[in-house]
Amino acid sequence: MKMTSLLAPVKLDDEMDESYGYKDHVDDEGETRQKKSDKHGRLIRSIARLDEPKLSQKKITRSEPGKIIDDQALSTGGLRPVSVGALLRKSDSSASDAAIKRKIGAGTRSKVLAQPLRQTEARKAQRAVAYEEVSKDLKKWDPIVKSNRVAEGMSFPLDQTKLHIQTTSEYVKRYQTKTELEQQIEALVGASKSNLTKTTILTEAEKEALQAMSVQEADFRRQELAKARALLSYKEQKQKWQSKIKSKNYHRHLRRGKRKEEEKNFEELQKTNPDAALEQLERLDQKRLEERHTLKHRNMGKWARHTASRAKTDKNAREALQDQLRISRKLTEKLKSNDTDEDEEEDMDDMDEVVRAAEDTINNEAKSNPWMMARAEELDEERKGDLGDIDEAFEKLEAEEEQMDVRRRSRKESCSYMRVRAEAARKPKKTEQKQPKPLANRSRPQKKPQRHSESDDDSDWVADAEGETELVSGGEMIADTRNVTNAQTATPKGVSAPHQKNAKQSVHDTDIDPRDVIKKVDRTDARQVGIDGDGQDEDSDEEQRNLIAEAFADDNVVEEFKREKEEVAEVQKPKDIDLSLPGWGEWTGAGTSKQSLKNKRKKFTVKAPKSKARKDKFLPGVIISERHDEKIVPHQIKELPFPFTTVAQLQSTIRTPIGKTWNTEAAFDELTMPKYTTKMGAIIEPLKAKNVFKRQKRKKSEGFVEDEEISALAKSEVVQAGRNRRGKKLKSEILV
Amino acid sequence: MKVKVLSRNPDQYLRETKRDIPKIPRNYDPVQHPFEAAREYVRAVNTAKLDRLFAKPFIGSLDGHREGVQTLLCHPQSLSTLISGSYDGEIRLWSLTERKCLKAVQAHRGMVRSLCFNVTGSHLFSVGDDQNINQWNIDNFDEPVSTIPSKSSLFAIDHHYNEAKFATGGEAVEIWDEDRSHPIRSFSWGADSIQALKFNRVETNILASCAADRSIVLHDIRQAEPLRKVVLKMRSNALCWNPMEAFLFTVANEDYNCYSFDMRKLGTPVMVYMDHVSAVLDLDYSPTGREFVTASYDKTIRIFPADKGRSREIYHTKRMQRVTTVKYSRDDKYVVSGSDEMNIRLWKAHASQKLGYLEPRESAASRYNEKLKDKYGHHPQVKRILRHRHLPKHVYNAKKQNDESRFSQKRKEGNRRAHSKPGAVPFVPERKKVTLQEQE
Repeated sequence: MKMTSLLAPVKLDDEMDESYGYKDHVDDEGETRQKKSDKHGRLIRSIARLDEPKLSQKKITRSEPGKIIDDQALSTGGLRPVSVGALLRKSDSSASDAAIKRKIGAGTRSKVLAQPLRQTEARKAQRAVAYEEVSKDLKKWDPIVKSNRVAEGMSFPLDQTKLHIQTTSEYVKRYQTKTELEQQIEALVGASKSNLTKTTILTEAEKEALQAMSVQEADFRRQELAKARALLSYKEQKQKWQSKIKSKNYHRHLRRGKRKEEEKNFEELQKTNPDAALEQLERLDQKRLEERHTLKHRNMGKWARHTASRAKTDKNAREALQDQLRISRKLTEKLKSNDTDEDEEEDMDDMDEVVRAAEDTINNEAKSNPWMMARAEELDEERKGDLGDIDEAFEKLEAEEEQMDVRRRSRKESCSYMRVRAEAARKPKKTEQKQPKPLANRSRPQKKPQRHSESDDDSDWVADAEGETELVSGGEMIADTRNVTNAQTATPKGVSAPHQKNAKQSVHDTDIDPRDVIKKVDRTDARQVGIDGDGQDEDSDEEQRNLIAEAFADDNVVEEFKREKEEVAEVQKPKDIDLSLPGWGEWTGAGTSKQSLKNKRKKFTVKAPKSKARKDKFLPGVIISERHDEKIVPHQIKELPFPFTTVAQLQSTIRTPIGKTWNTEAAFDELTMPKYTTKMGAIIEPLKAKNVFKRQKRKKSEGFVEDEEISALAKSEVVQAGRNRRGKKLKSEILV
Repeated sequence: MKVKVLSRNPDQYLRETKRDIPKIPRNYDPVQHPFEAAREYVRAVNTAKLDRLFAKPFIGSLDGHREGVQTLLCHPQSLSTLISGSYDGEIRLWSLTERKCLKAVQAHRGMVRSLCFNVTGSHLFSVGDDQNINQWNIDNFDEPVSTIPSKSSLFAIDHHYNEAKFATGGEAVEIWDEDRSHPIRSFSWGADSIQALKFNRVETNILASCAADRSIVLHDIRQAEPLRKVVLKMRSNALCWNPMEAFLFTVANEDYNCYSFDMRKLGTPVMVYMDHVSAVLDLDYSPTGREFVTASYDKTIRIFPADKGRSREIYHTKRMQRVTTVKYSRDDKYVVSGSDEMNIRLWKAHASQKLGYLEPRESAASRYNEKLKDKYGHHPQVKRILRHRHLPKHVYNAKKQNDESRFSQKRKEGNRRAHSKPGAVPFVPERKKVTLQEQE
């Protein structure tokens, strides 16, 4: 009521009242004019009007709005009050309104207000409401209290001022460029397009490059570069390998090749530039003279003598000697002599002489020594054999040379690198007595050797081998590797699919254990038999067996118990305790023996006391545990303490040590973090609602910011992986 | 003669610079340490022993009062300032660092009942048996700044935590404005004297009071009426709110126990703290809210963890008589007690803790020791040492007697239960027996 009267301008109210009054008046006048004759009626009406408030009476009105509004001062203005009933009548009498009508009707009917509560009751109600309100308000503290109770490593006082550590950029900001040079440099550096800023991921230059090049082009270029790099690395590696080859044979060939090339060059030089050729010739002559003068390559040097002593047993040494001699011969030869073949022969003779001289000395010694007489004879025979061997070796050498030539030729002929296996095939042909290598060691597909062993036909095997040439990209060999698995992993992409399949097959073949195969076969056979023929019989047999087993299931209880008892006895029997620790009571280094270790173990072993007879020894149906140890009892926990729910939990906590002796520094810090810490002299203020709830809000908002950062970082990582480490860290934090 | 010595190469254990990764001259493989649990157990036992060995909680006493100390008060901002009021109406200002009385004033005729500081700590309010509320300036202690005579005797006073209002307890709880000489509000519920009252430190408008009719009444100074009342079996002597948990408060009761209540559920206490053998006269929470200290008529002080029913520490001396008042220092490190025999005593809150600066390795060792005590605290040998305290004879005997009587009560109840109809003697948990009635 008060509100409405306040809101509505009072003057307007007044006007309305007046107009209404006027209207009423006019109506009355009209009536009198119409019914002038009816005096009686007028009289009655006038009498009746005496009861009504007089219109002419001055009403109390207010023309100015004021703060204090008196209910008494508000006039009704002679209006007929609008009754609720009239309003209800106006509204449609729908079913939904019925309830309202009933309610209002009831409200209007009761005229007497309810009696106010007694003061005590009213106060009680007031108290109850207030208490509920306060209790509800206190609920906001629940989560905070809960988290504080659980929190680890709280540090009081809670609202500590945060110390700010100056970042590098902040520190740098304090300094400004001063000299002109510095400014120029800065301008130059700043203008550079390849500056990386914190906000952007790519530099200007990088961006431009990216824009300038299409993706395909860039990819193509990258591939090209990669290819070039790969080729370079292959080459490098090859050279490295070559430089590390120790084979004298190989080096000899290399040298020979070089010599030949030199000769060729020399011939060419003679044709093109005779003066230069002459100079070279002179140089060679000079060398020869020096050699003749110094006798460097004779067999008198320390090395030569040493090698000569070894020449008897070592083929390589012999060859080295031979080489040496050949060089010396060549260098010291008279200029006239041209016949190299003869030279070679002489070489041989010379070498033989050296070898023989060495052997003779040994022989003579042996012969002079009566204990070595028999040995000397043997040696003679050996020498004969050796000479034969040497011949053989020379033959071999020749053959190899031939092979090399063939290979070289074939390579030149075929641009795709083909490896001819014919040479490999030739070997068994040449040394027919020799068996082919054991099958397991061969990495070639296993089928062929198997077939070979079956047919036992050499020619067949050779033909097969000759027929097989392998196409390899980049001149790499696959099948020659010993290890099958290696071969599989090392197989280059160029190898055709069927070949790979073949290799796989071979793996399977090699893995098969013959015994296993037999077993498997047996089983399958049996199954087949079962399925085919006597399946039903077998089933019924099994059923029968099961039935019997069920029927006599408990038959072995006594036996089992006995066994169990024995087991328990065995477990509980005191045993020797070996307390020796690695490193304790031990000397290390050279000269220590295992004997001392053994002694140590003996020393540190606590022998088990002689066990008394078990209490249940003569009680057949009883197992009495003898685990109870009097000494440990006072140290044992009797009841599971509060926070633990299982014994295993307690055990695990006890078992994990927290000391520095067994943990790293960081782990130690974490493990020994106290529940809360206080600072000496720092006043701890009680919780403040303002701070606590503000902090929570801040945390929430910070979390949101972090999320955004992360998404941005994730995007950037797609563009350039791994540049931003912080992003990863954040991500991991979120994951945690 | 060659002398063999063990020598180590510093390269193997020293870092070149401080920023290097620390070298680990140790193998952490558990296989190499088969006795780790056993070794740690021994360490725990040793720690427990050393803990007891170093337990020297008593720091010193402040003497000067010519009557028993009735009330103590710590300054809200200055850790070294302590105020005490005694039976003879004297208020003294102490410097704890110097252990000296800085000022002594005859403040009231009769006993000084209670003291409180204003928000900033510049002024002190005191109530005494002469029915006056005196306001003092800390810097100029000679004369009270103002004196407000009350109509009835006052027993307790406490200041609002962050507004210029204070509350007094006497015939009714009255809320005062600092600048007015008449209370701005008065709460009464039943006609009895209020013995103690305390403002909540977190929800600062809530106030709790203990009345002599064994009741605890909660108020909200914004409301016209008190909030709720709970009546216990016996009278509560003192009350303290938990400074970290807005809805928890603890009362020190005549029945030797303390009770923690959640103000939203006054029907049963959250926790019952037993150990004293006589009426508990005063208590104060540590500012961390994790522990509280109690003063008892049995001449001892005890420190209780807030979440455990038994005390972790008992302090007593031969000469200390009935302890009337006790306070926790605001940095959680000290406890101050005032007792009947005119002395104020200063104690360490953690008996064996080293005071002063700790080297990093020292603090690491102490942290490790604390954890070891936690970890092996359940083992009987460790537990025995950690729990062992010397008790004065009267406490020891009283404890025995109390235990006995409690046991006999239990037994009797058990017997009654056994010999009556099932369900006729229901099992009532100890907590439920505390409160008689919760009134709205």
